[in-house]
Amino acid sequence: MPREHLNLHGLNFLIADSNSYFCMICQSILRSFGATKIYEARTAMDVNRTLVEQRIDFLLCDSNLPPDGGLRLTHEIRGSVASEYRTIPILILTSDTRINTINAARDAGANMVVAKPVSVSSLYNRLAWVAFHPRSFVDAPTYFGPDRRFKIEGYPTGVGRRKSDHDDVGHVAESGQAMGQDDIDSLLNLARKG
Amino acid sequence: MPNAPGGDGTVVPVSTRFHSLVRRPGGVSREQAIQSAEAHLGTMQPQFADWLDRELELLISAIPAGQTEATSDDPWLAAAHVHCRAMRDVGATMGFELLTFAANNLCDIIEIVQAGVDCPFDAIESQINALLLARKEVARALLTGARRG
Repeated sequence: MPREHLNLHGLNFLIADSNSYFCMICQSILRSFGATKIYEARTAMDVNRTLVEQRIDFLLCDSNLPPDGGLRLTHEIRGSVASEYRTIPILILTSDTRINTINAARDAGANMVVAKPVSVSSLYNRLAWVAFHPRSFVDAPTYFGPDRRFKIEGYPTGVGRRKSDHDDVGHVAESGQAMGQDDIDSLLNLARKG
Repeated sequence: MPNAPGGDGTVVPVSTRFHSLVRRPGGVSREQAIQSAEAHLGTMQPQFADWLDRELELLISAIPAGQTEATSDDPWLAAAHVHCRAMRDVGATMGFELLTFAANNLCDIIEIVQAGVDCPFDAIESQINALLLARKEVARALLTGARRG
C-alpha cells in the first residue's frame, strides 16, 4: 500500500481543546482525512472521562488545555502504569513554539507537536509520520514515552528532507524565540546526528 | 530504528490499535485528503465570519474603555486573552494570516502585561484596529468568493 494512504475509518480520535471553534475546524479536517469517530473535550477532566467511556485511539491535545495544560495531562497518561492508554499516540497542538515548550512536550511523552494555527498539510504529514514511523517506548525511572533518540529516515512524502535535518539541534538557540514546524520536528527527532 | 537507551531505561516495543488499523488497505490518499479538507474549510467561511464577529465583540468589550493603567492580575486581561488566543489559533487555518498575526501580537502584549510590564494601551488599540482590518479582509474574501489562502 502506498504510504501516502491513511485509513482512519473507525478509529476513535479525541480532540482536547478549550476553543470549541478550533475543535470544529479540526473535526472537519480529520473527517476529510477519512476519520469517522471524533470526540471533543474542553478540559483535562473531560479527557479523562472520555477515555473511560470510549475507546480512544488517538489524542490531539492543546498544550494550554485547562486546568493544568496538555503537557501535564500527557505526563499523567504516560505515568499511569495500569492504564490501557499509557501508549496512546498523543499529538500536542501548541501556539507556543518556543524551544522550552517543545522540549517539555517531548519530555512529557508526546509523539509529535504541531504548531497552531495548523495547516491541513501539516496535520496530515504529522499524522502520517506517527502512523508509519511508530517508535518504541522507553521505560525509565524518570520517563515513559516514545524513544526520543532515534535516527530519522525522512517523513512520508519527503517532508522533513531538508538541510537542517542534518544540523545539530543544539544549534537552535535557547533564546525562547518561536520555532517553525520544521524546527519543531527536528527537536522531537533529537538524536539524528547519532 | 531506535537507538539503545542509556542509563536505566528499557526499550518497550509498542503496538497500538491506531498503528494496526491506520495501515489497512483503502483509506484516503494524501492528495485527496488535503483537497477535501481545504474544500470543507472553504464551505465554513460564512460561519467563520459570524464566529469572528462574536469573538471580536467579546474581545473589545473585555478591554476597559478609557483606562490608562492596568495591573498584572486584572481579570480583563485573562478574558481578553481567551478571545485573542481563539482568533490567533484559527485565523491562518481559515486562510487569514493577518488575523493570526494581529491576534498573536495582542496575545504577546497581554502576556507581558500579565508578567508585570506597564500596560501599553495604545499598542492594544493598534492591534484591535489591525484585527478589525483583518475582519474586513474576511468580509471581502466572502464577497468576492475568494479561495482560502
